[in-house]
Amino acid sequence: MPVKAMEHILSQNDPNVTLTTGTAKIMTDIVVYKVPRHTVIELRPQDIFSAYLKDAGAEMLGTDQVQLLLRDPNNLTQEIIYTGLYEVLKEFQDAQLVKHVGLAKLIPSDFQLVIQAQATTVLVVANCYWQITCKRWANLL
Amino acid sequence: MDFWKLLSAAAFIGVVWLVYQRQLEKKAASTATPGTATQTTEQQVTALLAGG
Repeated sequence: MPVKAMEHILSQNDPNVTLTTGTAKIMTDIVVYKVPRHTVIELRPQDIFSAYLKDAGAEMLGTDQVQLLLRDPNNLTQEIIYTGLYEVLKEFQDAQLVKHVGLAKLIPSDFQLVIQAQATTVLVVANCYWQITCKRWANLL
Repeated sequence: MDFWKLLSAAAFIGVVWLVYQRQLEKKAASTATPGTATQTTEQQVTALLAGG
């Protein structure tokens, strides 16, 4: 069966994303993207991970921690792709300042790409936006 | 006479070269691990998609 590769940007608007309001001072999932069936997501070293995270009134502190994880479909194992300060992820446009993923990874269907945050306050996901650039591979008819 | 000396020297060098190449091929074949050839991204993706 032929396959096709497409440049893609994962964001909070993707139908395969589940958003969860954060818990203050605890590292919790705020975004879970489940790779759809018959799809493979390819992360490349040059891909960009950016986020704007906010509680009910103010932006998350730059020194708060954020993680980007890869998790298997059974929630048994996970691999950290990024862990560090929120400050690093705040740039969306400047090519010199954006955070690059820095590694190559193929993510099969049903695997999850997870953003976790440990914020000082309660993050309100409706106020947050983020993007991860990638390449999306899919089966064709 | 010089012609024959030259010819035999060239033939000798040719034989040595062939033997050396044969040894290199044997060494490459003995150190290669079957099934570990590098796959392209497309080949890996195709295998993943075929699996589900």
